[in-house]
Amino acid sequence: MKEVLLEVKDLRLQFKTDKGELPALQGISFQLKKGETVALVGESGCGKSVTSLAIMGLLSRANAQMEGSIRFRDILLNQLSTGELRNIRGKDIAMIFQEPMTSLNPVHTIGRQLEEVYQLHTDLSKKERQAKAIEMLKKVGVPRAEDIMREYPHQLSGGMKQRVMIAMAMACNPDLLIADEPTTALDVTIQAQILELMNDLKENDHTSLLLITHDLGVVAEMADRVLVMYYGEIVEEADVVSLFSHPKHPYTIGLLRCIPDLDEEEKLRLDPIEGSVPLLGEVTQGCAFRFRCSQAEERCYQEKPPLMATGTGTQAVRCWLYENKEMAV
Amino acid sequence: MRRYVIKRLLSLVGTLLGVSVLIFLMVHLIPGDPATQILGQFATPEAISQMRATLGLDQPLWQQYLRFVGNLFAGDLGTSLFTGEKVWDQIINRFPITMQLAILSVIIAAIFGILLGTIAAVKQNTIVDRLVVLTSLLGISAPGFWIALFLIWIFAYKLALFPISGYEGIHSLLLPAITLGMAEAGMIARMTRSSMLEVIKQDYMRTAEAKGAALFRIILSHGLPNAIIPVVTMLGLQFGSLMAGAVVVETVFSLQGIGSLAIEAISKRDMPTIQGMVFFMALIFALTNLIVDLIYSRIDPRIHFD
Repeated sequence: MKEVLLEVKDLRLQFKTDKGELPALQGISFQLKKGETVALVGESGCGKSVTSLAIMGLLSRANAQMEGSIRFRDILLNQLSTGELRNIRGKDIAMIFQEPMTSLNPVHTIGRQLEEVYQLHTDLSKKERQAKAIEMLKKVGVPRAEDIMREYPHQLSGGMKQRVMIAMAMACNPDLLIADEPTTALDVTIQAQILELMNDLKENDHTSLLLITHDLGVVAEMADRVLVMYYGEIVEEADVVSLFSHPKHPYTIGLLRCIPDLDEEEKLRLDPIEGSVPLLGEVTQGCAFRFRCSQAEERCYQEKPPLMATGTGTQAVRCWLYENKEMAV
Repeated sequence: MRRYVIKRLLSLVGTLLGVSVLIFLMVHLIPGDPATQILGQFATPEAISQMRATLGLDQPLWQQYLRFVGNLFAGDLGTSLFTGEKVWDQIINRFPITMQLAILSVIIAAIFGILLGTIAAVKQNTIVDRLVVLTSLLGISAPGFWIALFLIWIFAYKLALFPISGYEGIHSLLLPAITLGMAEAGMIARMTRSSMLEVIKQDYMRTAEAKGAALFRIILSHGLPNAIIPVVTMLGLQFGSLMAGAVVVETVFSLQGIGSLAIEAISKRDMPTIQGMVFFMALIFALTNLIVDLIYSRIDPRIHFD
């Protein structure tokens, strides 16, 4: 059994707005072990990004009210002061964002932005920082690293910018890397390169990866375990093989049906899930997916299903269809 | 960069040629004969026609223009009709005060405006923010002469820290510079605030936070260089118009600057002086713009001049 690096327990989050409090996360619990890659999957608005921002402590404390606990190694992140959190951010936990185009500061050189990480978290001299930054750029496969140091973000392509972002995130050799849709904004060929790069770095540095994505192709490629999220809740949790071979939750099944399959001849059209994720605060009782679920029963409208073990390994699902099923297996 | 500056300077010559046509025609479009103006309405027709000959007003228009523009670009802006002084000398005598005043008040406006605007943006929707917004509105809307008299009353009369009026060295310019700077600081503060609010939402600010940078560093090192870009434009425009003289403030503080020279010349219909000043101001304004554009490329690496 590997050591648990990150443990999120019953994480609840409410956004304070003019229209009252909106529940963004309704009790998320999961673990991330050392060296493991866990994928958070779901449509836009299901709470994936919010979860990552909560772990990083990047949500404004004035607008977001948080309950539950986030433990990293033996530190309770949600109880740290802003100053203490700053020492962890960028050093032990680092993050890559979705938009490489806008995530780098347009008025600073690449070198300055990369060196800043060392400036914030190490005692290295200016010369050493520069050497480290160049080394890091080479490590993430940026050609002419010495020249790029002096260039500005607008002189780089999207793929190169994301490589720089990865270099910045991996600069201090973090234990945990959170990647929020790292390849969504990139061309398909570049996507594959970036994913490969992330996998290589992760293997070499024994970094754990929390990967946030809506792309099941990326999940299959990268993840050890998968958490499917819907409306601020985890609706299915499974290792990657179980999830793809026998998905349980109707939502997961729906998501998998959305992937175009080139081998299957009869399936000429995509099979999307009708409707969209309910707005925050819209569902007050029952299962949040019932509106889009073809198998919804009377009970789904009244009672919210708990996350239930299914009997197949560690797979768990939040759906009444699987109540008592574990007996049968 | 050098090629760009040369190109801009060449186009500046074109602009000045256009200005020269306008100010030359100005004399001929405005009613009133300069010769009559000089000699007074009781002068004999002979004296007037002799004066017209001396002034070259009897020659064809295009000849007059060529002579005029030739003199302009040779640095000869003509001679004042009243004082008999060279217009160029008059301007050069008055200009240092105006320039010092402009520089001083733009510095005051920049320091206070950018500082307050940034604080207001960081503390958005708090008391501090509202106070800044209110104060800057006061600064913008309070009339210059009122602020001037108020400052004179407190600092020059009651506390006797500064001369009440006139120029006795650079410290005499502090109160007028504050007067001018306050209104500008108000505008700069509002602009910095809205620009900074926009910048704070940007992804790269979140990146800086995710790196572990402190708020102070995020705002100063990552936010301000981006937020300040539109503010520099405004500072440049303000500086340009201040270089053309601040009439009200110069009058209240009895300063012999470009603004008061303009007022004197206009009230006496001293055409050569007016023409010379318009030409000079156009030159200064264009040069200021060029400098602002060059500063722009320094703070925003995306702007390139080739």
